[in-house]
Amino acid sequence: MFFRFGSVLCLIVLIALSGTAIEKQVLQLKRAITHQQYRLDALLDSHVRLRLEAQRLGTPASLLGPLERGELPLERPKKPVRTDLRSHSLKDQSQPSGTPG
Amino acid sequence: MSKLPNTREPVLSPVRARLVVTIIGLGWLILSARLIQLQGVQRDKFAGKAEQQREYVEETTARAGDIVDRQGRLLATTLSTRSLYLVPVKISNARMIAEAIAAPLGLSADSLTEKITVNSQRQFLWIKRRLTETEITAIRQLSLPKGAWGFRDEYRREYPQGVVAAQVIGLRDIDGVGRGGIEERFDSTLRGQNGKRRVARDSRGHVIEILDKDQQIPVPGQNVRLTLDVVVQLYAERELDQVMKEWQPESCSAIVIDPTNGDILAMATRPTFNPNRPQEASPESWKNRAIADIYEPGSTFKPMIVSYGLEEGVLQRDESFHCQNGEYRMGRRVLHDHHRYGLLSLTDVLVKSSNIGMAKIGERMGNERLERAATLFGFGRKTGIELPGELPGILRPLKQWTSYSTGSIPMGHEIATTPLQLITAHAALANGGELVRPRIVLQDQQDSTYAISRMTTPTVSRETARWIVEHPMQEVVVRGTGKKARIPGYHVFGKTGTAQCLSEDGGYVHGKYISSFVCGAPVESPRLLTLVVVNQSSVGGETFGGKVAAPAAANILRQALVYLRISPDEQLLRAAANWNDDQIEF
Repeated sequence: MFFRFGSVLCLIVLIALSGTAIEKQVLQLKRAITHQQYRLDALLDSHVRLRLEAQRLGTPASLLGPLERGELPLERPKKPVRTDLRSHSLKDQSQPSGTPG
Repeated sequence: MSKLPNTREPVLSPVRARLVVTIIGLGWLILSARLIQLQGVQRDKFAGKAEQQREYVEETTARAGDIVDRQGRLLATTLSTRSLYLVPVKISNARMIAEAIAAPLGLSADSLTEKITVNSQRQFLWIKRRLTETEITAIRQLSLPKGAWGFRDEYRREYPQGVVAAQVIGLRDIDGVGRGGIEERFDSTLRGQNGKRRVARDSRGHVIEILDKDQQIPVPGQNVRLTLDVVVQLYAERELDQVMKEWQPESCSAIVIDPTNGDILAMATRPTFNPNRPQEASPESWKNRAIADIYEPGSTFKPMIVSYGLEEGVLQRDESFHCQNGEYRMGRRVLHDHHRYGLLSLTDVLVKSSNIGMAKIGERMGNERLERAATLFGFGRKTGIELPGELPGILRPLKQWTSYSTGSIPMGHEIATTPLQLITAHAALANGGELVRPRIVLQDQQDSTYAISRMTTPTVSRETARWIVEHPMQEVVVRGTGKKARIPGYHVFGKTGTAQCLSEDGGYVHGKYISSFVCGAPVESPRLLTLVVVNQSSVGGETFGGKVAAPAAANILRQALVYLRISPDEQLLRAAANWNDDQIEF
């Protein structure tokens, strides 16, 4: 009698504990999903920041002057994207005093 | 079998036992009734209360779209940032809080204390918006009282190219509303649509779950691609800076257009401002003078009149006009030329920019034809460019014209135009006679067909337009008033203009001039057209468009031609080596 009662009680407790554990796991997963959503937002923002920084570093305003003064070491790409290369460089043509000849 | 006697006495008498059972039963009954009350009758009330404590709806702001140039270079983008607010009603010691947060935010503790005290009954008070990362970290480290403060996510607009095309792009104010330029005109496209989400939080206020119900995903703003090319724009901006330094005018503007399709490659104005620091901008710098300044075009208007006269058969290409040795009486009015010209061919009337020659052409054409010519080339109405604040210029109704108008209109007087209207009219001559609506937006994501929609109006025949460009306008640069715009290796055409400034009461401002120069290349197939307008140069009394504006326009044109891989003619390059130094001055 007592053995049966104890067994049922243990079973009930076990089921309850399992339920709690599953509930806890569900909650953890929900939290992880939520975290991923916020992380996605953060990554998107990080992407925007890095893109902005890259654009800032390569703005024509900051590159054109040194390029025209010959301060930037230029290396022509081995496989240029464009085939219609300039017959005269920006450096040569950008100087107002550059009379031809 | 005998029955065994019951040795145990009963604990409770049957009466007592019934009483206990009844009490326990009643207890269960009461508990059951309470359970029904809580779970059944008052279920919604308590569920609502619990939900209110556990869940809340947060608004998710949509990220505004980017503005890029025709090559995809970033002109404006959006970064997320945080803003600090206080809940004054939950603050007991305003002074202490103010002193704590004032230093890291660079604010005055006294004024902050006053601000909190004055608003002590409010639930929400902005302290500083769009904080830097350092400021956010500093505030977090302060351990301010819980519930009395918070951060709110906001977006900040960044303009990585700085002052480049500031008036064209405009800016977004602190509330994310577009002000001026593309930001204002395409505000609804760029802005996007805010969303909302319901989140569940734990007892400490941390979000534990984003719930699916009531969720509205924010729709990010669309990107807008402009026709501008930042490099060409930079050439224009640099030349305007040089003009401001050299001639110290009140203002100046420059436009570079592709005459074949009306694409604006550059549109610059001085004075200007940095949209990243709008608080430092002067009131004059906000105006986009390329579309919102009106002035008399002067001689730059003459080619349109001559081309229409030719088209109507009123003028012949090979005819000549006697320019009366610099003085010509027209009714009660005596007209003068800068030089005493005698007989000038039609080409030379434009090359020498003879006012008397043009007045005689005006007499030949009559007011009606003059008015039709001006209207045909788009004067007196907006061009329709996708920018706010464009002015239509001034072209008075024909009935208000007098005999004075017959002489004045052909010289580019009694008519007012914006720089954009003028270059659009010249683009019509350069592309063979089609008046193309200028455009600044190449494409937006929403409307991919935007790039295809074109509006053109025929003006004069291709032959007439080509003749004007290849002969008089090219000669202007080769041997006329625009010699300073010669570019080694290219056949350039152009026209100078010098006009008195208009006063607000409709008259002229004595001694104040607007100098302009429009030029394009290559003559054989014009790919670029540049206009520079200089308002009231103040150095050395020099006002002539051929001297003040022409070098800047030519410099912009030359650099843009090379950048756009429009190769120079090698034969012309060699010939240019023999130009005298006084002939080529940049």
